[in-house]
Amino acid sequence: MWYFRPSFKKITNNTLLAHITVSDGSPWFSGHFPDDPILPGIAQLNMAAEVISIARQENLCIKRLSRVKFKKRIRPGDRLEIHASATEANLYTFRITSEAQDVCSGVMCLAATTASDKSIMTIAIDQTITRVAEIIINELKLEDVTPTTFNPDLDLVDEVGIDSMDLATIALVIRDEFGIRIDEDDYPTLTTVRIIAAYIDQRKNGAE
Amino acid sequence: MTVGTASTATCKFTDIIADPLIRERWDKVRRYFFLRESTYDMTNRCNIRCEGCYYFTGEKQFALENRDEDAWRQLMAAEKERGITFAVLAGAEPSLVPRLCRICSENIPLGAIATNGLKAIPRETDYRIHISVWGSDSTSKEIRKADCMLARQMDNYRDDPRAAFVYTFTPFNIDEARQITDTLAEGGQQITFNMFSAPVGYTGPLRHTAESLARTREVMAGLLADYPQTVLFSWYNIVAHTSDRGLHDLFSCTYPRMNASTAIGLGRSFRQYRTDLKWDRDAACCVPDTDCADCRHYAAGSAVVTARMYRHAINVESFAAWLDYVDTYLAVWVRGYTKGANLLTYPVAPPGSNQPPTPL
Ligand code: SF4
Ligand code: SF4
Repeated sequence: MWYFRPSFKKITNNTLLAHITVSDGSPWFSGHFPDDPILPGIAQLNMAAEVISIARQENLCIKRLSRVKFKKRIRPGDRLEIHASATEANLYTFRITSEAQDVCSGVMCLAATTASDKSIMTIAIDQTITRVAEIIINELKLEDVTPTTFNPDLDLVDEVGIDSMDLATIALVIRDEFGIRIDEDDYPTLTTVRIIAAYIDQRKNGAE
Repeated sequence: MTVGTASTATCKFTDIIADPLIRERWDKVRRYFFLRESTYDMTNRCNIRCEGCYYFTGEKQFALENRDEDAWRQLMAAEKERGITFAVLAGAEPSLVPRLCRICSENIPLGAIATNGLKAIPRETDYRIHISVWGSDSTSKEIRKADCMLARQMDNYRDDPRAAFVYTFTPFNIDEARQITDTLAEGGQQITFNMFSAPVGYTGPLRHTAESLARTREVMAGLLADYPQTVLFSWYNIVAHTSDRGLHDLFSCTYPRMNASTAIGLGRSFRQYRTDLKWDRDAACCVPDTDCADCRHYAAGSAVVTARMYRHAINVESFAAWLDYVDTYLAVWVRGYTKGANLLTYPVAPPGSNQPPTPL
């Protein structure tokens, strides 16, 4: 991801608030624009949809947009809040704010992605999920499960039974393979394969 | 003596464990990653009264004593169910309640008992037995008010593979450690080292100073070099336990008392039960009522340093130091585990510390 890992401050069934920071190193800024970096509107919308996807732990894509307004520019390093609330299944009103000012708002209709409409980013994340599952299977010598059948949303501590030393070993294999550092302080947050994959993705994209 | 400064450059983990010696040791220690400990105070009685005793400090000494064997059986079954695989039986003096110790070992087969060694614990309880030594007999007499301690302790645990003597260094017994080690070596016993760590509020003379830490370091190094078969310790143990900085400052203690997270590791699973079979997360660590700033306790290091594998996997030297520490920990705590030769014969600085350890 080209922004720091969202931290969810409030999640109910229908509403969420996520805090994120846009990475200085985001590729969006290199061409948009070389001497005047601004986050494109499509990136803002994609960010809102991804945050909802992460909160719901589902792969979702935007099917329809309405009443979208862009009010403030987003610069590298800006800290943002994403507010979203579901008015009906998969229909969200969303608002991005920065320093208490509106940046962007609107309504988006989301739908589960199918193989044909997966974005390159989603495919990349899926590959990371499969690889992380494979690392865990190898390191823990798990039987009766393959990287593709491993449920990426299983709680690794409660449902798979891994402990801190296992996680440290897995973190070292990930460090070697993906060239990223995993802070020991982050271990408690790395609770599922999907979350680990998202973490790797953020780190790889410079959101250190 | 050479002092290694931990490099900041990070090597790949696969390259670090490509070294055959490191690989062999790594494969040996990782088989024990399943160990999950909790600690149990067995009785609030002791047959002696030592100055600076951490048990008779704070609230836990006032907990009522539960001697109901069924209650202990149920507790141990529940502990096993919760994933505890290693029981540490401690305060005040477990040898006074041998049947309760036995119940613990019947339910959780791996464990250790901290005892003053004046009363033998029956062999049926097949845990590692840590026998505390606080100096020569005359020093013990003065601080622990007990006569001929070492001879009585050795008699009780002669030819007993469960026994590991734990010598606690205070500022006043540093030079007595050689004689004790020599006597234990002659008796075919093993010794490991502990550091007096002040209880909260303790202002007495046993608290270590920079000078006593430096002298302890020298003595430990000499004993490690001269008695490799008898001394269960490593150069990295010396670094970790005799630094001016305490263990928490060096490695960030992971026990619940200092770690708010309940997500994984000790913060999630560790409990310290008092004699009434209750526990309090806010006080839970292996040495409750010890002043964290002064904590250099061997039991604390065994969890705190051991848990920090990731930060030591930065180069061969740091990782070898960590492996020596873990190999020592397992040899001291786990029955049947045999310590290998230390991989390093010199001290290296803990990762992230800006200064090398004080030269030995
Ligand atoms: S033997 Fe142990 S429990 Fe008993 S008084 Fe001494 S230090 Fe305390
Ligand atoms: S006394 Fe030692 S082991 Fe206990 S919480 Fe403090 S630093 Fe950790």
